[in-house]
Amino acid sequence: MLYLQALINGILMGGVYGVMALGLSLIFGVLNIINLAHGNLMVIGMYISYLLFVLLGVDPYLSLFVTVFILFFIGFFIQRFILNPIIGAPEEMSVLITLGLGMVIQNILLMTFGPDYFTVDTSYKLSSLMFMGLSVDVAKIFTFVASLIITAVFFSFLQWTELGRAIRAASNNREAAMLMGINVKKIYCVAFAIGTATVGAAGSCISTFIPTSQGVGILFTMTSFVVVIIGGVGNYLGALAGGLLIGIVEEFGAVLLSGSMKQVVSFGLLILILLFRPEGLLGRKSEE
Amino acid sequence: MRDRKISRRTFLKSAGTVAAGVGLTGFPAILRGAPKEILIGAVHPLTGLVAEAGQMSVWGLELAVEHVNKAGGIKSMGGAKLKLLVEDSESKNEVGAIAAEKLIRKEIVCLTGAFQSGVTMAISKVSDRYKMPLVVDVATADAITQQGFQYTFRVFPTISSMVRTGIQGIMEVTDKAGRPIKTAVVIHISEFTAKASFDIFYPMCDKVGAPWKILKKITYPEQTMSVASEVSEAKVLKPDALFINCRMRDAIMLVQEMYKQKFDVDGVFGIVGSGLADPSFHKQGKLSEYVFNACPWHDEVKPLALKVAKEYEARFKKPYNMNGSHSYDTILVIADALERAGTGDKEALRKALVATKLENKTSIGGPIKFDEKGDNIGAGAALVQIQEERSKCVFPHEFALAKAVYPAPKWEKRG
Amino acid sequence: MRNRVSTTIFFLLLGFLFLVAPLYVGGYLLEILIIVLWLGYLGSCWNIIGGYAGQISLGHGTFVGLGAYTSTLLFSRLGLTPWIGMFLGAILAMAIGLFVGFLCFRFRVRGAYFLLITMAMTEIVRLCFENIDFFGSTVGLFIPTMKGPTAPLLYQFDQKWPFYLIILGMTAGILWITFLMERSKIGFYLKAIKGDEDAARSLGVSAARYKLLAMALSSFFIALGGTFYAQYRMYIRPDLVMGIHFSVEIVLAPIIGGLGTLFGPILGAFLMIPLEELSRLLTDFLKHSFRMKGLIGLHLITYGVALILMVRFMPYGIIGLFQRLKGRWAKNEEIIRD
Repeated sequence: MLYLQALINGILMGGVYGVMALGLSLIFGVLNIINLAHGNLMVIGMYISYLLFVLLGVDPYLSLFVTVFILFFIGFFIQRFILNPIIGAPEEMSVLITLGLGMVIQNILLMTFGPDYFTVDTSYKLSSLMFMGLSVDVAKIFTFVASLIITAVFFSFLQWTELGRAIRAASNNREAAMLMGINVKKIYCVAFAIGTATVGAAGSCISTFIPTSQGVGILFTMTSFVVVIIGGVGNYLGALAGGLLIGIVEEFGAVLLSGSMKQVVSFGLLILILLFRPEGLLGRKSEE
Repeated sequence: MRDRKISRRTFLKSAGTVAAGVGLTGFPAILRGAPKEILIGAVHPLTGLVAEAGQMSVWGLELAVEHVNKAGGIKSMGGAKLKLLVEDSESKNEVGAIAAEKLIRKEIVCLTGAFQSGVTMAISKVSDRYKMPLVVDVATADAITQQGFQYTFRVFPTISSMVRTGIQGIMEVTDKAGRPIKTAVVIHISEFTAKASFDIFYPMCDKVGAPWKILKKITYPEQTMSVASEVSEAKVLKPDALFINCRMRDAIMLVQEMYKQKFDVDGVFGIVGSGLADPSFHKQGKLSEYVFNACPWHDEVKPLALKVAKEYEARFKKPYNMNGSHSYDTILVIADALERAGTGDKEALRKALVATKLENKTSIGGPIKFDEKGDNIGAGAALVQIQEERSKCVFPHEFALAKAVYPAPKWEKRG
Repeated sequence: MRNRVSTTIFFLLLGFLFLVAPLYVGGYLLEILIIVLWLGYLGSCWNIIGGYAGQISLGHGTFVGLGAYTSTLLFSRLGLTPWIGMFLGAILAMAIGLFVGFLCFRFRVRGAYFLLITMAMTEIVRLCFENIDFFGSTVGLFIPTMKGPTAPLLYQFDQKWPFYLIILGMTAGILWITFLMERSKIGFYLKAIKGDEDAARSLGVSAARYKLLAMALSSFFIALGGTFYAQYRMYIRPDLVMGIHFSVEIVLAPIIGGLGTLFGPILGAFLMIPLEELSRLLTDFLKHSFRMKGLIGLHLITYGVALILMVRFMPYGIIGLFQRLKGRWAKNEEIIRD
């Protein structure tokens, strides 16, 4: 019974992790950028949802569109001015730059909003469905559904639109793409912006049930990385799958192990995958 | 109606009185030096996760300094006024140590702080090197006063005393309601303040003869994303009560999860749970209502305590809780010692502190008196319960006005 | 020739000044100096693998923690003096470093993935220490204070200046070792590997072997810094000496000062800490004169911006900038001479 509940909790959290990791997967997969500011960007999205809710009373699932919009531009800006100049540099450089970026974002948020935690207190925040003694968190169901929708939108965009194809081309072979007349730099900006926009959407979704403040960014970042690498970098279904796996593993870990050991299991899985199957469980998306 | 005109004799008489008065009070001051400022240093976390709590301590210190000065300052030092110098520890040991150095350089006569045990340890090492008296206002680790430092004193109760009072309070409250706790589950963060508290809790339960059986001990990391499974684990065991220790963020998640999973217990008891004292936790309405906490508290009965609490809350818009009251009392202790020492000399101050016996204070417990390790043997703790979004003391009775509500109403009855 | 003599004199003078500093400098400044030197020391150790070998690790905090915990546990449980315990800790750290390095370098793990693995490693170790009571768990370990004349034998002093001299010596030591390494065959090979690993390999350089060597050196020496911290603060806890936050702190100084340069990490540390203090003073000033809430976290924003700018414009840090300028200057001189 307990394990069934843990499974349900795990699946629902899995949806949360999956949607958090989607944007990172895109950025890592297409642009080869290890974005350590990922979590902090998500926190920006959550603050936006929070402000819109508190000031204008807009539900986060609706204000999601605004958040996406704002984060799109932030992402575009970041890529254009900070990351584009180091295209071609070793990946570690992107790590360090995004690390610095994350610090800047986190502390600007700290200065502006202070250290207190917040959640978006919608009316359905506390609702849950009970059947057969098992409880299912409503807000997490919304998020789960949202993550499926976002993944589907994502996938079809990349697969079927011209812009999407251009992005995939640019990620596979930069020189060839340039020869074909694709403005690679601009494409990169768009790709990164889409990544951050997704991250903003994820933030909106989870703002009702995960208490956040400026300091939580690193936690989101680490979890998302674990999910992305385990699921497969650049593989969007992999992000969902990885999310589900980590979600379930953590919830079972919480029940079977004590203290913070559940996180050890996640990190351990990460290391194993990095060493023995770096392309992730579902493999990296490779194109011709 | 007095005669407007003052006769010469009266004038001379009054002038003489004034002159004599000035001479009597001023003269010794001139001998010892004109009334100056007495600097007291404080290191507290003003930024970081516990910034709010640190700030509430500092307000307690500031308010006490104001009151002491308004009452005439340190009379044995010519009415010298106290002045508080505050440094932010940023919740980091390094920074706390540097801050302590900075303050000592500014010629304080006494140091206080630092809320977090690690930081307090760090500053105690600094202050001891300079033979500077340190009166710890808020910090729990037993080890602080076990270093054999002669210059370190602590007003805040030790974890042991808080846990003991808590258990006694819980037993009394539940006995009175006719429902002693038979089974319980422990849930706490794996971080050290919680762990230290429970390391003391388990043997103390046996020592005091607590009737309950702990069915399971559940821990989770402070930075967790969800406590859903932890709550599920506890729910499945159907305990009478929960003993918890959380930070504010996960405390909120915990009660929310309990509601969502419709997990009812007779009572939720925080064991020295600092997160539960946080104002944001109180604002959770029906979710945090009826939650208990075993922690130090301020006196809710005696007039001085009530007066100070009222002024504190009016000025700072935050409740006068354990942090504010112990910080306030620390200034009273320092002022009292200065008064008896008559000088800011560190050695004399230390001797005066050793001889402290302060009854007029705002925190719960007997008169403040330090043992040979520097611990306050009068330090007390209480069991408080959140009622109507405020923490109220329900045990021990000589400091309490409110009555405990136990067992807590079920979720569906709370609306 | 003349250059070499004047440089040596310069450094001897500098060294002397540092040596006598405790006599003239008050407690506050001495405290800051100790922290600066310690951070510089850690950064210099990291520099061997991160700067010279070009393998960026965000997990070196692990080794510091292993050093600190080993010597502390051996002392508090077995009474073994930390002077010996610290070498045992360093050996343990080196073993773990070699193990991780072996897994990564032999498997030809990409640089970025090496970085992620080190991050995961440091968090796993930190979490393990937090969950095991024997290691003090999240409560941490307090080192029992020893008083009396035998204290120094147990790596305890009740004054600050002995600690200062120790960390000064350690820093000088690691600089010396780095200096020797720079000029040796090892340094040469590492430079080749850092520049273009595949090319170096095709020339017969065993990249894995030299990277492992760098890893061993850096993890061994950085662990000694862990024991220093434990003995100085007399209290350790997993999140203070391990984990990602701490590991990132270690890396900031070398990056700012200059990756892969001899004095980069020290210079970086000398800039960072005063910068912190300065921003604190600024915050105080603003708080009092403008009643502002204060610019909390200003120094962290500065670090972040510095990091971004550094990587973008000065991947070789401040020292790299000087070297480039010097190069340009020399070129100008040549042109003028001709």
